[in-house]
Amino acid sequence: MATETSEGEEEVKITGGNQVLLVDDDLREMGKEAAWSVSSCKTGNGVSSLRDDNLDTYWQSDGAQPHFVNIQFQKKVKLQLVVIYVDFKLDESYTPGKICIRAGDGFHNLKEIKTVELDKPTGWVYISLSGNEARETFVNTFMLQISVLSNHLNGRDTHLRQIKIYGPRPNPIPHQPFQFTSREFTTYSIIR
Amino acid sequence: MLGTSEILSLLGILGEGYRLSCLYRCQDALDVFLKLSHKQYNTSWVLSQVGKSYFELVDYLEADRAFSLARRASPYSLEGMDIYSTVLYHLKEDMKLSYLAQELVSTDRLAPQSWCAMGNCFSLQKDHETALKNFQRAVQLNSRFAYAHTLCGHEYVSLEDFENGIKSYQSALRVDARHYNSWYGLGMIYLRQEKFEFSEHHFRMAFQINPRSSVIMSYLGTALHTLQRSEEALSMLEKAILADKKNPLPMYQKANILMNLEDFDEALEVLEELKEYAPRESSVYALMGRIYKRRNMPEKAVFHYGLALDLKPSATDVATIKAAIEKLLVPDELQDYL
Repeated sequence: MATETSEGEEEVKITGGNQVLLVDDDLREMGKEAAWSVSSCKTGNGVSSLRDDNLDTYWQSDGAQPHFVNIQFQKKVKLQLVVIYVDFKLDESYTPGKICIRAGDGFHNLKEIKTVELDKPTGWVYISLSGNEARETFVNTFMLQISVLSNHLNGRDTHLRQIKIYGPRPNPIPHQPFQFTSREFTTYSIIR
Repeated sequence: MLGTSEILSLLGILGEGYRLSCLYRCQDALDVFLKLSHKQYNTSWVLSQVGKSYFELVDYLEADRAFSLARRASPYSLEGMDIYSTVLYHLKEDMKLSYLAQELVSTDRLAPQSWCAMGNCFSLQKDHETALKNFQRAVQLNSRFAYAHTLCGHEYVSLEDFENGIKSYQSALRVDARHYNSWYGLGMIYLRQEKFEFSEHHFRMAFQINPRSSVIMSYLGTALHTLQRSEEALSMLEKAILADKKNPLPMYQKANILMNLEDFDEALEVLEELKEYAPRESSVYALMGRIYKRRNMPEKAVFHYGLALDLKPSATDVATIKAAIEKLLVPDELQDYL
């Protein structure tokens, strides 16, 4: 869409974090379908640490800010939510302070969709990608870039422990304009 | 002599009932089982066959009743318990289902049925990865157990891994070519992948095996419609409506096809009828909204879209419906810009 909208202008401030990862039933994790890469890393703390479901390991950047995590999908996908695990108590000045999320077809046309500021977070931090209007509920994109613009206490390199990407579940019934909601319909709509 | 003929007639009834249920003539099978004496009918084998027949007739409440009686008659029998867990899955009885799964696993942790129940339990919680692992364990325990392969296929589909889904369904069919659930599963995958000829073929195979299932007829109708064979599609859906009056799916699909054929009045008529049957179904109102929009009746469209939104549709549909409403409220000359 050519028109400029106000999306990405407002900044959200997030404090705290959740100890348990709780996500809406309509959403599913989509990170495994994507190719993941990072702008830089220390040996032994590479990109795989972001996706190993282990909160004790982390990705550590090794270079100048901003630090990037690039998530590229093979096809255009609908995304709604990014969840990251950060731990200020353990990582201190390595904890991200300001995070910006961009989306686009590839590296050449990334556009900012959300910027959030974190305040000493420990736990899962939810970053919704939805805009204010109904048609901006989802981000339709080939690529997502999560960039760490700054850290806490002026730290240089950053630690991220986990990243999860969520999009809406597709309609369980193909070629149907809307999803069924009532039990009368859902029990009859599939064979198992 | 008298005893022999009595036993023969008993076995005759049991055999006939089993034969009919294998042919998926489930109502006939139920009628045959009713000929049994009270004592024979209340054995766990017969009750679980009865449950299976109700399951095939998509009468899950009756199936639940029969299976729970069967369990009471012999709590350690595993016969049909995989199906029972699927019945509870359809009824969304998560508590009963997890209890059943626990009991079965503690009864026999080497039986595929136990792990099918466990998998269904996780699948109902939308934890499809764990569900898949459980079904794979069932396959490991007995690779000749067709239903476990099929359930693996369903989970792969939920995880959008269609390649492995197809493989699982095909392994199920290698074990039992008459296992129509797998033909149906393959049809669904091809329908999603827009390989419509394949889809039609597989739904038709399922239909030939179980020609009384209104659900299969509905999807066969959908597949025919995607192949631009709308006449055939509508007559197939008509058949589905007659086969099971309680199934709203073919009526909804009929309305959808009629809308695509721009026969708006008739589509609305069908939807009005559906509204009576399932007053809390969001998708019915959403489709009505869409039709009114195409008929250039914005007030009515907004009204029905609003009703659809009140009934908690999925987030995707909320976005679609809200966007449609926004477009309705924009004057025509501006519409091109959106």
